[in-house]
Amino acid sequence: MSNIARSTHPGLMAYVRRDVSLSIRSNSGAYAPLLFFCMVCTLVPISISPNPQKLAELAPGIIWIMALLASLLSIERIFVFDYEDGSLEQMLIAPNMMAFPVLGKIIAHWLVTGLPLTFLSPAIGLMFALPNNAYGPMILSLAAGTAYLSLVGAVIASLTVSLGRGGFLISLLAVPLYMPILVFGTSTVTYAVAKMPWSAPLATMGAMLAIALVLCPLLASWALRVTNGG
Amino acid sequence: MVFPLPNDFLLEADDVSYVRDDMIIFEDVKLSLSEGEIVHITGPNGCGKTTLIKILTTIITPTRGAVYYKGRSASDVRYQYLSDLLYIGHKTGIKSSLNAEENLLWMAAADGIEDNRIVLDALSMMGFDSGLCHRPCGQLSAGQLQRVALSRLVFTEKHIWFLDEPMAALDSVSIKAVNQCIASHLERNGAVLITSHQPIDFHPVRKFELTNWCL
Repeated sequence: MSNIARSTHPGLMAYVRRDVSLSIRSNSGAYAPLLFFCMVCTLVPISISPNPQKLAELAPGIIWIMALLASLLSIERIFVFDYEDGSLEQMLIAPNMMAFPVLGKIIAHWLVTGLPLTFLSPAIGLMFALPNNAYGPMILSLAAGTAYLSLVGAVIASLTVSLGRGGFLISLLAVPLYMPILVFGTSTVTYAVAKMPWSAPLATMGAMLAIALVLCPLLASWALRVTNGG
Repeated sequence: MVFPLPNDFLLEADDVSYVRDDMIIFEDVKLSLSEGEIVHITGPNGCGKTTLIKILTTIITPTRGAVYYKGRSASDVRYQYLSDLLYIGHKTGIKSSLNAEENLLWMAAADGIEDNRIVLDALSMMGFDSGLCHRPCGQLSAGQLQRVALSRLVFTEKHIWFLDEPMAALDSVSIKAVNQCIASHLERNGAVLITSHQPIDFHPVRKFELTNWCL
């Protein structure tokens, strides 16, 4: 009855596919951060000033803050449903290294929140009268930055998963860790708006993303074990 | 009582204790499981049956003591041990937005099975109405969900089964189906560890009483 050779536990790609389809099927919840991002960004030109010059100055900061908050809104969802329905326990007793399923879930989270937000950002840029040369840097920085937000957020979400809906605690813990990426993200876009070379902050973001990509899945799976009693 | 050598058993818990928030849940629990054997863990509510099962499945680390698989520490042979165990707990891991077939296919992947046929057959063997197969599991009753989760027992090839209150929400027809699965598993030299408030009397079953330390 030995079945060790046959054990083909779902791996990274299986988790990506499953989590994306689960988010698409669940009503509204997955789209809420995206809707929030668009709504608040629409409010800014209306409430502050329609002056294009002023808006272009504000744009990098506002777009980035909204992206950060949108990510914060949804990061709790990454593990909490699995904790509630018992999938997490099954994940814990899978013989494979747990970091891969966790990375799969993080990638799925990014595909559902970060990536659509990145694709939507040119429309927001248009609303803020962003200069043409700033679109490229904005898209690149948001693509890398939102991936970083999902990775770091997943670690925090895994720490608070057993507390039930620890929404406030997640914000409290995650915002300080989100700060560096916010600094480099806004600088990338601000430099581009000011027609200065913007590759240095973007490269720094890339480096941060590379480190997070290696460390965060490991940290999150370790934290999930600990919060579940391991 | 003479305690045999650890490597005589498929699974063994050696003096396992668990303390949560300065409260002793249980202390020095000795439990063994051999091939072709079923052990029924009994005890009052809150005596730590679920905790004990979670310790044996390595989800929870015991405060003291260790779990041995074929005579070797479960943490040393983690991959082999976890490849060989099936755990169905109170929370069954069923996603409410997926239907029964999709849920079971996902679970079957852990047993190396990716065949729809096998999965659908298992569902019908467990008495699951095929008309409900395409409904999201969020619309099903507790008993029906339990049937979906327990359908794994029909096709899994894992050696050691941990079943935490499998009969809780089931009707008599499905209880019979579960009992049949357990019986054929035992015939194939599998091992079962079960907690249940219903009597399990169809088989030579070894009872293991967990006393309530909290009292």
